[in-house]
Amino acid sequence: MKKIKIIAASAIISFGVTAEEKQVGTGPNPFTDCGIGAALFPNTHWAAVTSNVIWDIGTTAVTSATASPETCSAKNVQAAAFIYESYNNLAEETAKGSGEHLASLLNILETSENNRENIISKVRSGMADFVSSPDYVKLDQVQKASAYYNLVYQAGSNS
Amino acid sequence: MHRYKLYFSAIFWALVSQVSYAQISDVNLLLDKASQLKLSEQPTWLKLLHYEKPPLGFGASRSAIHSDSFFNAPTGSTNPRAELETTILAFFEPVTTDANKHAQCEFRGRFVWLERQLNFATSGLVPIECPNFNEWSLNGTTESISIIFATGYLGNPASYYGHTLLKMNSNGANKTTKLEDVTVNYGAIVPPGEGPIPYIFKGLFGGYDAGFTHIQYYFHTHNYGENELRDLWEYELNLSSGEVELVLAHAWEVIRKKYTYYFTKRNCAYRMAEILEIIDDVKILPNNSVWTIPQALIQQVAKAEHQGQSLVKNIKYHPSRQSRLHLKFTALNQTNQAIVHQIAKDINILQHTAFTSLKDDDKQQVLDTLLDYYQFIRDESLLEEDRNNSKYRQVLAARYQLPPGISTETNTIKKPPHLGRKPSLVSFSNIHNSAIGDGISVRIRPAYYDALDADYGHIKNASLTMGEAHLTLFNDDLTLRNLTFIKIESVSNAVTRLPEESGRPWRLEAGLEQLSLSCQNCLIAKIQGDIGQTFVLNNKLMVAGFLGGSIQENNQAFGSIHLNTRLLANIEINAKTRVQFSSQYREHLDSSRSGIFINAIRARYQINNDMDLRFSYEKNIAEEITASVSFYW
Repeated sequence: MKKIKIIAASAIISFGVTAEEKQVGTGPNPFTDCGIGAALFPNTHWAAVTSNVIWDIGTTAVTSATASPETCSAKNVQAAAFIYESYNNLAEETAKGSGEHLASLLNILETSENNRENIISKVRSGMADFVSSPDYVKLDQVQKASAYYNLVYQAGSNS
Repeated sequence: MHRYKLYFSAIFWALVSQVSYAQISDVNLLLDKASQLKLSEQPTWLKLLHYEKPPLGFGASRSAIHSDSFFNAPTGSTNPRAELETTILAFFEPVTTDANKHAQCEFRGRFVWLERQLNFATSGLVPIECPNFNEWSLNGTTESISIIFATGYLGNPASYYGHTLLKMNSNGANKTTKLEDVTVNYGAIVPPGEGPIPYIFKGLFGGYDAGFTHIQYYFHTHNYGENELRDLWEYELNLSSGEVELVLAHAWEVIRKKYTYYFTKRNCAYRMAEILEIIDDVKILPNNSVWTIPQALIQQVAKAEHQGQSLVKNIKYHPSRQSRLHLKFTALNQTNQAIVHQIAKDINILQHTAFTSLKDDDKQQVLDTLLDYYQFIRDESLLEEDRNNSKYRQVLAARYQLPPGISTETNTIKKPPHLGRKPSLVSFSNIHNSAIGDGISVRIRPAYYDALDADYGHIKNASLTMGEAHLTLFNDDLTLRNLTFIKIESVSNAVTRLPEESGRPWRLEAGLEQLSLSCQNCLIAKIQGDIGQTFVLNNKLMVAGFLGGSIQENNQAFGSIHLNTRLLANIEINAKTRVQFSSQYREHLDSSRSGIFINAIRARYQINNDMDLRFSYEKNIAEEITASVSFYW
């Protein structure tokens, strides 16, 4: 439970802080450090969310990633955009232990085949704590996606 | 004479550019060869430039693209020969600061095609490396191209008839799933803050620019499958590697170039098909001069042949979240279905032995079905205000407590849209009217479906009609019975009968119609809107109730403002036969006339994919019995 609170808290708090001020262990995060949170929330109107209208969020996100080469590498920003877009699918597939979205995320992060099972297991453990908190429903999509990114980042760093 | 002009142009070009004089002869050789082969008149060259007749057919052909950056020659949008010659000259230009800006990279489709016609290798032309194009096209690892068809969506007028886009299927070493594949998508560029009425009119009459964008496939699977609950059908095409290369290269050069958007004809399906028709014998645009309906395009694609083989080599189904819920729920055994219902009514059942005593596999099936259910009904943006968000969280948390594993899923899929009927209908009827006598009628519906003939790729029990005209002939008197500008009945089909699954149905109808069945010359303009409730009693029977109002021209003291209540029942007798009962009570709010009932029974029997028989009884002051035969086209 303590672990969960740290993850959720870091997801919430980190929106108002710079990379240097973030909590220990959360690591660099494109949602907070690359402006991707804003890029993923264009002021779309009722028509712009549909498919017959030009909608180019991915390019916007990647373009915004040029500010900080390390954290905001195309790979990390693509991963963050993918997590944001597919968060619920990822959360469900992580519970199941496998799935197309999960495989795609690890592809984007260029994770080796040998490490995948270990990373999924660690992320699953973290997510089990994360979703068990009733406060989970208070988090918006960016906050949940950011927390998931942190879990993946930590699992990858420790593998 | 023209040849001397070309030589002069080449020398002048050499003087102003940094090209060595040794290359002038190479350029001249290519220009000569292009002229001898009449490449500028070749259909493929004209298609590469997107030349077309103006929308009304008057005037000379010109490019549909109106971005200056798409042309090398100042007159390139109207003069294909000038554009060809200037493009060849531009290919010889030296690279300056950015190779991506070089003509060989920016006009990649033209370069690939002209190389095949002129064999640049023998001309001394130095090929340029194009980093951006190479990265986008995944360094030649695209092994095939698919057309993605998204089924219709009644939440937005531009998506009523479905949508099509292209997906580039990679076979790269790290690409083991389809979600990261690149898609190319055509759409209108709508400014922020545009209201619905300007949106519709500008969409219909060319008020918007439009263009192609590229984005990863997962953006579309999320937008369509999770947000709009639209099934995706993937038609993988049987193309050679050289053809894939040409389509990719051409798609690259039209991305972000501006066209004019027309909702009915030159729309997403039309422009996407043009990209594929760059291949010589691929003909997939439906032969229709008025509109391009995406499903009709898919039907054309499915029956098209290419190099003596079917153009389509593989069809895949990507069900929406709603369809996945239906598939998973119907695959459950009765016990598990009952437990899903119990948990949906009381989330605390998750801690009850009714659930906890199940085997892990059963628990996984139940929870996975519930995840789809809550994803379908909840509004995530409301956070804790929507109680379903908390229930979803509890189900997800319970899923994490189980061992990892994929629950057993059914392989049942819906019938694909290419097997559906054609989109337009013409119907011929014999009529007996209690007030007017015997007559005949013809009804023409350009698009698309009603509750009786909703088919593959449509929404069951829903209705979407545009531009329908109904003419009657009684006693040598030809009359317009009605002209429907638009009629939509949006319903949600509650397969599982779980709480909140059915959603809120609504109706909208606008057009001209006779005041009642007793009158031949009482045409009035009318608009009606209703909202209601749906009750799906089983997979064969849907009952709906509506409450709404209408505004119409005052005629024969019926008033202008009406309050309407309507009961509706749709029954599927078997795969070929459907019946609809409808009873509407209309109260006249600004008239002393008493309210009236308007009742109808309609039945349809499908003879085959192109034909049906219909019978109806209607009462609207007068009574009328109709027998019709309909043809789809």
